[in-house]
Amino acid sequence: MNEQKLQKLLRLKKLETPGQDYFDGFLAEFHRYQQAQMLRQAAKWEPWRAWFREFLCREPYRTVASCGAVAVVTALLVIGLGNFSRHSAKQSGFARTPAMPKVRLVSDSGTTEQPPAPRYSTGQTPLSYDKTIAF
Amino acid sequence: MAEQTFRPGEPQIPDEALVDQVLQGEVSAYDWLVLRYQERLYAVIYHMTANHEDTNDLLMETFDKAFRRLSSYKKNSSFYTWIYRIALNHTVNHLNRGRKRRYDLSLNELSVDEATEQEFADLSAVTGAQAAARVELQNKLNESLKNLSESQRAAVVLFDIEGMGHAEIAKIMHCSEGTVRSRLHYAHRYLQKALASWLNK
Repeated sequence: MNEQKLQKLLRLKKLETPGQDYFDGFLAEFHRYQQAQMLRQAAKWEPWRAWFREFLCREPYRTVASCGAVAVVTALLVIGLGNFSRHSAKQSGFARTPAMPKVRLVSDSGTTEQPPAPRYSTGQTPLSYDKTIAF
Repeated sequence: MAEQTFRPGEPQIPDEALVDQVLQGEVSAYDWLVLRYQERLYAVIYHMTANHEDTNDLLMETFDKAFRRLSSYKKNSSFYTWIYRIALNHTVNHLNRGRKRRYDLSLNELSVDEATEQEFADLSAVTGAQAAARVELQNKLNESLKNLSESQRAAVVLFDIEGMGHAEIAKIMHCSEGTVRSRLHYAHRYLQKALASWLNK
C-alpha cells in the first residue's frame, strides 16, 4: 500500500512544468545561447589574433617573419624529400644507409659484465729478460 | 517510450533521419529534435536539480553539447537514449561539482493544474488543514529526494516520474538492469521511511 502511495506521489511530480510559454520560447532562447557561445569562442582568441596581426605589421618583424616562414617551408620540403627518397629506396630493395650494428648496453644485460681478469703466467721468464732474444 | 506525437509542420520522420539531415548540413533539422525533447529533458533535469534556473542552463548546455557531438552518435542505440544520457551525465556532473546547489520548493513556483492540486489534496486530506499539509508534504518529498544519491535519484526520476522501463533506464545509465532495480529498491525504501507519517495514514 505504501509503495502504491509513494508511486502516486512521485508520479504527481511529472506535472510540475514551467508552463507552455517557457517551452514556446525555448528554441529562440537556445538559438541566442548558441550564437553567444560562438561569439565567446571567437572572442577568446581575438586578443592573440590582434597581437599577431600587429606584430606582423611592424617593419623589422615583417621581414623576419617572412624569412622565418620561408625557412620553415624549406625545412619541411627538405625533410619531406629526404623521407620520400628513403622510402623509394626501400621500395626498390636498395638501402643507401647500411644497417647500424646493434649496440648492446651493459644495463640491458641485467648483470654488469666485468672485463676479463688479467692472466699472468707465473714461473716463466719474462721475454725482456731472455738473453737469446735480441731486440 | 510514449508514442511520438508530431507538431504542426514537423517532418514525420524518425530522430535518426533528422540527425542524418543535420550531419549533411541541414542544421535547422536540429530544431525539430530540440522541440521533440525539450519538455522531457526539462523534466528529467528539473527533478534532479529541483531548481528552474539551473535546469534552464543545463538544458541549453545539454542541447548544445549534443549538437557539437552529433557526429559521434552511433546508431546502435536510439537517439533519445543517447540524448537522455548526455542530459543525465551533464546534470550529475553539475551536482557533483556543487556549483549552485539550490533546492527550492518546486511546486509552489511552477504551474500545477487543478487535477494535480486535487490529487495532492487527496493525499494530504487526512491531516485536516489541507493547504498547509500539502505544502509540508511537497517539502518533505523534495527534501527526501534531495537526500538520495545522484544515481538513486536518477533511477527514481526515470522510473517513477518519467515512467520508463528498467531496460531503458539501464541503457541510459550505462549499467545493468539489476543495478537499476537495486537502486530503485533502496531509494523506495528510504523514501517510504522518510515519508512514513504521510504514507501510513
